[in-house]
Order: sequence, then structure tokens, then C-alpha cells
Amino acid sequence: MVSDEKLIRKITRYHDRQAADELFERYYRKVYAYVFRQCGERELAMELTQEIFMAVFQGLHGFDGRRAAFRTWLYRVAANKITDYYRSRRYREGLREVSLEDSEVEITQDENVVERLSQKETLQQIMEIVAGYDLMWVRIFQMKSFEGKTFAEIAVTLNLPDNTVKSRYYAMIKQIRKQFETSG
Amino acid sequence: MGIKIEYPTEDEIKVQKEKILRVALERKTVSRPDFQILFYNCRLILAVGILLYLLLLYFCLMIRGRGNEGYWVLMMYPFTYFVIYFLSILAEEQSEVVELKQSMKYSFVYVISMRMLYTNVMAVFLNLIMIGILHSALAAHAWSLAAAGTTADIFLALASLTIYEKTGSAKISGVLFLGWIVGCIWLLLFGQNLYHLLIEVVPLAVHLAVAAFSFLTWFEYMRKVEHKNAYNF
Repeated sequence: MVSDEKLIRKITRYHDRQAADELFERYYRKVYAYVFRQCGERELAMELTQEIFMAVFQGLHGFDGRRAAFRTWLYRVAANKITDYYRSRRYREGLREVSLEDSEVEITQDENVVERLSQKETLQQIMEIVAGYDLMWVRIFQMKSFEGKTFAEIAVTLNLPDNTVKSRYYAMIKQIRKQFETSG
Repeated sequence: MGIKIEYPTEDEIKVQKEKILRVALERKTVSRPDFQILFYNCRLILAVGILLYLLLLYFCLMIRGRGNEGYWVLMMYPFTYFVIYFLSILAEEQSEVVELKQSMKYSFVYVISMRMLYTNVMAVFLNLIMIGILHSALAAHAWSLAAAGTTADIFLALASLTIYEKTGSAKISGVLFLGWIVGCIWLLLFGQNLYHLLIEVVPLAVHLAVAAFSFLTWFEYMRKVEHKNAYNF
């Protein structure tokens, strides 16, 4: 299998259609699934996925494979696009950004919120709540809930201590549950 | 995650792919900036560069017949290029034109690269005049010296542009130029054997081939800058 870096070189140097095709096919369904899990709507997921791939392909010239793998970069673009979408929804609804303190939080499993993420009806509500937080917190939530990363992996990616990642994640879960219960 | 993914159909994916790749693979036509844009506000600098070059020619007339003309020619080869390079960037930094130029349609790195391409081509012709003046003294090795000097000139120019692209500072290239002068002085004082080997023993064809390669390297660099960095948007 040709590496991502080789395909990118062919696309940026020679506008190679075949290489572009292969790169698209390699990642489209994965990215679509990632987006769908965070929005729950087919049309919306298609629209966002298209925007993500447009941004990625147009930004290939500036992509530096030495700083991050293509896959990592692709998912980062995807995560940002999703967050932007929900933030613009919050903006339209006149909701302000919420800040959370890095205080001592009881680390307990909150099955309730996690279970609701698998229900389409409540998924978008939760994502709208999540999008109101600081970007770093949003990324932790996305990487844990939708990218299947462990706390240790998230800590390495975001250059944060393990405990900080864990406590932030559970702080968010607790807040989401509280806001959910308040809004009914 | 428990949510059931509802994938688009193959036809829908195909339509999306066409839309995305059509935009992504569109070849952007780069209209190159003209001379006036490249040398905007640089008339005085060009004049100073030409004046210094005339002084260089006068110096060449003075050293004729001393037997060490080859070393001086080699040392002076990148002179015109570096004078214009330094003066143009330093003058622009001091007059704060850099920030203005960075907001132009073309990226500043691209403008500098194109400017130095024209300067280098001009320098090659001017240096040939210098070789012409000293031809009788340089004799059989005049053309080898011209080719070697051109190669050195181009590679030093590429190095200075790469340094500028990475650091945003022209001053670091000053070290490069000084290093070249020191190297040539060393050659004059202690490196006669090396000079003899490089300029007088190595055939002219090899020098010409290396000079041609250096031009190709330059054009490849320009192609990459155009492709990656020409526009500010």
C-alpha cells in the first residue's frame, strides 16, 4: 500500500488524480463515521465531511509530514470543523461560552451521559453543550468519546499531564449531565 | 460508540468526491509579478549595486598582471548579488516597507526569490565582463573560472534565500558571504594546490555541467516557491 506521504507528494507536485482518488477513498468513510457519531444526521454528516475534505485537500500544500502524520492532521481538521459547527449554532442561539475550573473532581464513571451519546435524539444537544467549553476541553471530550483514545494517548497528543486530562473529562461529563437535567 | 452509522450511498460518495477533487486539483495559474513590483522602491539600491560593480571592474584593471587574478575573480563573483540582496532587504526593513510588502498579493519570500533570480542573471553577465577584462591574465582557465564562479554564486544565493525563508533574517547570510571571502583568502594564501586542482586540472566540461546543474537547482527552487508560497492567500 502506498503511504499517505507519497500520495500527498504526487497530488501536490503533479496534481495526480489517481493519488487524490486513493487518498479520498482511504479516509472518506472513516471520517464520515467520525462526523456522524458527533452529529447523528446523515445530511449534516455528509455536508460537514465534504467541508472537511475540501479544507484538507486545499491545504495539502502547507501540510508538513514531519510535524504530524496525515491521519492525525485530518482528524484534527475534522474535530475543529465539528466544533465550529456547534459553536456557530450556540452563537445563533445566543449562548455564551462556559468556563470550567481545573478543580478537584470526583472521578466516577457517568454511564448516563455516555449512553446518551449513542442516542441520536440527544447527541446534538450534548455536542452543543460541549462546544460551549474551551477548545482544549472539547478536544479531550472528542478524543475520548469519538476517537477511542485512552487518557494516556490524549495526554501525549495534547501535551498535558494524565491526571489533568482525566479530571477535565469527568468534570465535563458531570457538567453536561447537570445542564441536561436542568434543561429537561 | 453504540450509534448506528448511516453511510451515504456509493453514488452520493462519488458526487462528493467529484466536487472535492475538482476544486482541489484545479491548477492555479501563477501570474508572475513584473519588474516594477519586484524592484519597487529599489532604484537607489540598484544604482549603488552598479556603482560598486564599476569599482570592482576598476579593481580588476589594477590587479592585472600580478599573477593572482584567479583568486580575486573567484572571491568577487557573488559580490554584485550579495550587495543588491543585502541592501534591498536591509533598506526595506529599515523603511518598514517589509510589512507593507507582506500584505501584497505575492508573498514576500516569492518577491525576494524572483528579484534575486533577475539579479543573479544580471550578475552572470556582469561577471562575464569582469572575466573579459582579465582574460589575458587568466588565459586558458578563464571559462573554467567563470563557470565555477557562477556555480558558487548560484549556490550561495540559494543558501541565502533558504536562510531568509526559514529565519526571516538577511543578516545571517552575511556570515555566508564573509565565509566565502575568508575561504577565498585562505585559498590565495595557502590553497594554491587546491586552486590548481579545482580550476586548472578539472576539465571545462565538468565546470559547465556543474554550472548547468546549479541553474536547474535554482529553477526547481523557484518552482517550489511558486507552487507553495507565491500568494499571500
